[in-house]
Amino acid sequence: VLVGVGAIPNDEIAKAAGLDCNNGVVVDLAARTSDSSIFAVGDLTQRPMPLYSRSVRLESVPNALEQAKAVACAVVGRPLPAPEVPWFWSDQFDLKLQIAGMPFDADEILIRGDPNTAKFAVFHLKQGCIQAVEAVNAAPEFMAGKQLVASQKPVARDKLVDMSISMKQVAV
Amino acid sequence: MAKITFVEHNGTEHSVEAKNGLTVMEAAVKNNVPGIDADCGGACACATCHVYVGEAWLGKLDKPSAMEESMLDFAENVEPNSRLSCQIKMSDALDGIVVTLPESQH
Repeated sequence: VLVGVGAIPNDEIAKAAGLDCNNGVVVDLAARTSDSSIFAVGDLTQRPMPLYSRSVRLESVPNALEQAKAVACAVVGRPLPAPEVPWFWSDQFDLKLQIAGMPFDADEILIRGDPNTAKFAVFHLKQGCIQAVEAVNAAPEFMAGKQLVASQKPVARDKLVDMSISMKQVAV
Repeated sequence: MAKITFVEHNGTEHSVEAKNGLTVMEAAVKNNVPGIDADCGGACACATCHVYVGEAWLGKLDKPSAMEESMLDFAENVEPNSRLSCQIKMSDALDGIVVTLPESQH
C-alpha cells in the first residue's frame, strides 16, 4: 500500500515575523524574503520558477542546494547562478527513478521504451517542447531530457519514442 | 588509509587522507574540497562529482558501470579519463591517487 500524505509548510515563525507567506515563505530568485535582511531556503519556500512562469513550493534536495548557492551569491554580492531545472531522484530496490522538470500545462505524453521491462521514460510535452521527464533505469533519457527541458527546443516526436535512435541524437 | 590529491581547475591542490572504502567524492566533501558538488549524495544520479583521473591510476580502477557511463555521456567537458568520483572506492592500491576537477559541475 502506498499512501501519499503531502506536507504543510511550518511557516508560523515567518508569519509571526511579518514575512509574506502564501503556501510557504515567499522568496525571490535569491531566496530573499519580503524582509530584505532575511533569507529562507528549502521545502518551506514559495519560490519563483522562471522556466514555468510561476512560483512553486518544491520539496527536494536539489532545490535547497540551488537556493543555498543563490543566497551565498546574494550575501557576498556575486551575480546569481543561472536557474536550474528542478530534478528529483530515488532508488527503490532495483529501480532508479530520475525526474527532471515539472509537467505543468503538458498537452502530450510520450513513452520511450517498454514499461514492462522496467527501463523506460515518460516525457511530458507542451507544444512540442519537453516540460518534464520521468525516467526509470534510464539515465540517458533523464540527462538528455533535463537538457531539453532547460533549452525548451522543440523535439522530434518520432525520434523520441524510437529506442534505436540514441538520446544524444534526439537531443541534437 | 590512502592519500588523495585533488587539483582544482585553477591548479590549487588539496591532499587528504581517506579510509579504505570511502569514495573519492565522500573524501572531498568531508574535507571541504571545493569543486565537487555531489548533489545526489553519491547515488550516481546527477553527475556533479565529475573528476579527471591521473593516468597512473586510471588502470587500477574498476570499470565504470553502465549507469556511470550513461551519466558521464551527458556531462560537460568529458575526457577519456573522466569518472564520477562517487563511484571510486578508496583502497591501498589507490594510495596517492591524483584527480583533477573540471571548471564547473554543470
